[in-house]
Amino acid sequence: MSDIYPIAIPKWGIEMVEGTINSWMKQTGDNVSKGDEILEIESDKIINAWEAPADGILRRQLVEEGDVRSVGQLLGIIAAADVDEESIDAFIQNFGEDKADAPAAAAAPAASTAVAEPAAAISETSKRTNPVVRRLAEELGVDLDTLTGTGRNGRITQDDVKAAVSQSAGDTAAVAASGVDIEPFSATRKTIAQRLSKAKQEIPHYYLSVEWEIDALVRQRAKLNEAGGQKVSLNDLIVHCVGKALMAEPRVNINVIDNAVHRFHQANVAVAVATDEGLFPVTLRAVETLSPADIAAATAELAERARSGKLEKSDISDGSFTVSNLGMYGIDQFTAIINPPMGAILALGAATEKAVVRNGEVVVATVLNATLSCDHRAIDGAVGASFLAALKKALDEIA
Amino acid sequence: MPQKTMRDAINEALHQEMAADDSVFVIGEDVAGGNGSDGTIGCAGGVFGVTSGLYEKFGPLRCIDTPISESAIVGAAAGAALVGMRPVAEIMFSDFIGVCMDQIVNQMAKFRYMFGGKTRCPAVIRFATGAGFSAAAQHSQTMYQMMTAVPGLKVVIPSNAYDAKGLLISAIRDDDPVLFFEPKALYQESCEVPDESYTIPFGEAAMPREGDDVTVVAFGQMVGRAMAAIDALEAQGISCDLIDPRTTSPLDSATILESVEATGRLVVVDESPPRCGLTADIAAMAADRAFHSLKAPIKQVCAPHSPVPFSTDLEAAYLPSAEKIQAAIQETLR
Repeated sequence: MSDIYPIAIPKWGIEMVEGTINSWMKQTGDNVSKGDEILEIESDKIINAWEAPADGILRRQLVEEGDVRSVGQLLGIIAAADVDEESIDAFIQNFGEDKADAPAAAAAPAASTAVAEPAAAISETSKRTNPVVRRLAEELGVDLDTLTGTGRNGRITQDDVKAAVSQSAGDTAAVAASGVDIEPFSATRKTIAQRLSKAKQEIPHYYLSVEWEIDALVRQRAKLNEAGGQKVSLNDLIVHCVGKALMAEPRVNINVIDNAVHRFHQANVAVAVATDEGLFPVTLRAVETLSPADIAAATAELAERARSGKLEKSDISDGSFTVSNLGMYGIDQFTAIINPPMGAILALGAATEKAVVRNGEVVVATVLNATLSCDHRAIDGAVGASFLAALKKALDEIA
Repeated sequence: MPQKTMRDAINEALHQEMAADDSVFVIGEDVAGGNGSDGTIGCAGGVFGVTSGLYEKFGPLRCIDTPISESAIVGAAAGAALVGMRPVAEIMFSDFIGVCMDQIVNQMAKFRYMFGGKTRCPAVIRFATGAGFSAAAQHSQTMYQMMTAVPGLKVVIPSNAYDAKGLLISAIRDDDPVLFFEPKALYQESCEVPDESYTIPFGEAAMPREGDDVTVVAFGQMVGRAMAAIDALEAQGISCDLIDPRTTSPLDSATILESVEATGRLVVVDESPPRCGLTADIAAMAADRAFHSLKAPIKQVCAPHSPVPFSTDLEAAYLPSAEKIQAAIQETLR
C-alpha cells in the first residue's frame, strides 16, 4: 500500500479551485522516475507540469486530456511493479471516500467491483448521447453530465451542447451567416472573464482621481537614461515610487481574502503585461528594494515570459497592489477593475502637455492623470487619499 | 465566415497543403490545362477546374499533366509515395478505376501489409464521382462501394464544401492511401468554409439532423436529399437522426449503432446500385448488432441494379429522390 502514490490536482496558489488536464506526458505502463514530468495541468493562467514524487510505474490514468477536475481530485496512480491491481482499486476507492466533495465513487451502493466504476459511468452517459455529441462536447469543453437533453428520454443533442456553450441559443451557422464569427472562450479567457465579473460585481469599488504635474520626473528620467545602462520608462519610475508609497501607507498594501485583510511586509506590485491571450498581471516582488533600472529589467523579463507562455505560478501570484498603465495607447485617464485578492489598483493615463495655472499664471506643464480604485470593504476613502499623497511625495522626492 | 463552393474548398485545400509541405504534388490528366481551355498550359485546371491555379503557383514539377493513362498516373503516385512524397493524383471520373484497378487494389492497398509495416504509401487519389450530370453509364458511377470493400484503402465521400476541405487535408496528411470521391453534382454547392487550414478526422460521422423517430444514414450526394426529406417530414411531427459517415473506410459504426439503438428504425440511402453496396453493408451491420433495438424492417433506398441512364428523365428516376427517401422513412413508421 505504501508504494502507491496518488496523482491529484494540486493547489497552486490561494485561489486555485480546479485544473484542466492539458496533456499526459507519460502513458499507462510507462516507467517513471522521481521528478519526471507526468502530466500538464492548466490552472488560472498558467500551465504547470506535475512531477512524480517517487520512482514507479504509471499504473492508472483516470482522466483524459481536456478534463477539468477540482483541487484534490484523483487523476491517476503511480505504483511499483509489484503492487497488485486489487490494492490499487482499493486505494482509489478509499481516496474517493476521503474527499467529501467527490461523492461519485463512494456514494454508489454497488462498490464491490471497483474496476467497473469508470465503465459504468461512461455507459450511463452514452445512453443519452451518441459519439457525435460526445466529440462535440469534448471539443467545446462541455460536461455532458451537467446537461439536460431535449431529445426523447432526455437524449442530449448537438444543439443542447452548443446551447450550453453560448446561451444565445441562436445556432452558430445562422449567426455566422450575418457576418459574425463566434469563438468560444479559451480556458485563459474564461478565467479572466470569471474573475473580472466577480470582482466588478462583488467588490465595492470607489475611485480617487488626481492630476500630477510631472515635468521634474520627466527630466529625471531623461537624466537617468542619458547616463546609459538599462533604459527606464516613466512607468518604471512610477512603480518605483509606488513601492515607497506602499511602505509609507501599508494599509493599501493588502489582499482581501474571506473577510480578512492580509497585510504585506513588502511591496509586490502587479504590472499588467499585454499578450495575444490577454492581459497578464505579472508580479514585481519587493519593489521597495529595487531601483528604477532594476524594475525596468524585471518587467521586461516577465513580459517576455508572458508572451512566450512560460510564466511560472510565482511570476503572477502574491501581488499586493496593481499598477495598470494605458498611457502608451494615448488614454488620458481611466478607471480600472480591482484584480482580487489585491485591495487596490492604480490606473495611469498618458503624460501630456497641458495649460495649467500656477501662481495666477497660465503655464505649460507635463500632466499625468491617475485614478486609484480601492476595495471599500478594507480601504477607507481617507486611507486611499493618504496613499495618493504618499505617492505624490515619493514622485516629488525622486525628481 | 465566407461561403465557398465544394470546388473552391477543394482547390483551397490543395493550395494550402502544397504551400505547407513541399512533398505534396498533384498529377493527372489536364490538371494544369483542361476542358474548354484555349491550349495554353495552366489555363483551366482540370475538367472541373478543381486544380486551377496550382500550375501557376507551384510550377510544372508539382502540377504534372500526364498522358491519358490512369494506370501510369496511379503507378507514379504510388511509387512517389513509397519514397516519401505525398502525391495527390486525379482520376477524372471514378468510372476509370477500371483501368488502374491493379495499381490501386493490388499495389497501393497492399504495400504496408506485405512489407510488414516497414513502408507506407501516403498517396491520395481524387475522383469526380456519381450521377446527375447526364454523363451516361461510363462517367456517372460511384465505385466507392467497391473500393470500400478493399482492406488497406481509406475511402472518403464528402457531402459538402466544409467537409471536403477538412477531409482532403486529413487525406493528404494521412500515411495510408486514401481514395477521395467528390460527388460532381455538388461541386457548385456552397456553404460556409473557413479560410484557414483545418482537418476532419476519418471515422467520425457528422450528424446534420438530430431526431428521435428514425435513423437515416446517407452518403455523398444523398446527404442533401435526405436532409430535404427529413425537413419536409418535420411538419408531420416526424424527427430523424441523419448520419453522414463522411468516410466509409474507416466507418463510424458506433454512431450508427447508437442512433439505431435510440430510434429503433433505420433507413440507409446511397446512389449506387443495391447489390453488395453500402446500404446493404450498413443494413447488415444493424441487423447483426442492433437487432433487438429494431422496431421495423430496415429500408434501403438506392439506385436500381442498372447502369446509369443517359436520358435526363431516366437518370432523375434512377437516383434516389427526396420523395423516395421520405416514403421509406414513413414506411418504417407504419
